[in-house]
Amino acid sequence: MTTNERLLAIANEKLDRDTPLTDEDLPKKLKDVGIDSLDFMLVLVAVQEEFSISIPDEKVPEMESLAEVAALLGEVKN
Amino acid sequence: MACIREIGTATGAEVLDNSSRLEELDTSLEFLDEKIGTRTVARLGEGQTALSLAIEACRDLEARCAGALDAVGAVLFCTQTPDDGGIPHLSARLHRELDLDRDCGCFDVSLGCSGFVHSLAILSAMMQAQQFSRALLVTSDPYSRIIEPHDRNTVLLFGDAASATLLVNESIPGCFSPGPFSFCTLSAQGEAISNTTGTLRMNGRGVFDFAVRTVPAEIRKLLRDSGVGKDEVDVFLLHQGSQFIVQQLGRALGIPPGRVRLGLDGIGNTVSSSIPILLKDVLGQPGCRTAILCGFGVGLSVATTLLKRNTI
Repeated sequence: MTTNERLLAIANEKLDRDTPLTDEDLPKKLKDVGIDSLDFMLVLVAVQEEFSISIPDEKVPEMESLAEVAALLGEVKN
Repeated sequence: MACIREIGTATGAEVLDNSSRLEELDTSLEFLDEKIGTRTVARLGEGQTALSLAIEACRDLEARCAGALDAVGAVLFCTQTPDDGGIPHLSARLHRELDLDRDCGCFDVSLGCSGFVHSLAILSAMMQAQQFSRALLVTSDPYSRIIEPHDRNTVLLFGDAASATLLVNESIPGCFSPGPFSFCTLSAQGEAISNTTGTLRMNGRGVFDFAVRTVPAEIRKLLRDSGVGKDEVDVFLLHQGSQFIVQQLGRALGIPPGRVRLGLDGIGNTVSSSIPILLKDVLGQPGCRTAILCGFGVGLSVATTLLKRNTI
């Protein structure tokens, strides 16, 4: 699975939405795809566990889309 | 063995309606309803204080249990926002207001959302060691005093309330007895909830992260050590941090939603009073024979215990 696929799988499992998120939703603003601040925290906790990383607090306000989370994961992995 | 005889409660006389200032707080009705769990939170009314709320809770206790304030051997007052800087300590001031006996020990405990369960452990042990027959556990922590009115991390959540729990040193049939207890402190993350400038600061992500990683593990540990399966627990009374956090903890534990109680509506997160406010209702529900109590928050700390009804 690619990083994007893993990220979407985590978000869909944790958020348990009626309409699952797709690739097209990745670059959209979190608010525009119905992810509020608490949903986002839930996704980040799961992402940290899945990828065995720690996302610094100062990075969180900068992330406005799931694509930006994926980009951060790419940076951490590299 | 100590048991919980009765609980009285009181809430702030005023109401802060956050639904009337959605734009100012960058929020939505959907967020308030589904994530916070309430559109309004209780606030101290004119002339109300931490002490006066506590007195109201004690009067409610007395109304529900005649003679509840007779022969009390100890008063534990749990608060982090005491009146007048905390000197004299509020338990002593409450002792005076309630005209309690001279040979009654009074002390305050500084803990936030894990305070009720910690205090239950302290008083249960003290009652057994000292062999006095009754103790009063009071929580009253009006966080509105330290909340910045435009800080959406805190103003949407916290409400002002108090509780007064009567503990008796005997196994009364049908009443709940607590124990064992477990405790956890992750002090390295303690700055996630702090008050260094007179204003409460909360790193919501830090607290959420702590709660979902630590609380389920602590509850599982207590159940394992008690030899009780999660399906044998009738009700889970978790600190009402927010509706979302309580629901996520229930989900992480694999508990059906109906067994994880919610109680933020109309009052908000009432710090150390949130668990006794939930428990007050459960006392009158004989079908609930076993309960888990878990408080978590400032410290960062977690305190957990199992309640079982004494057999009739």
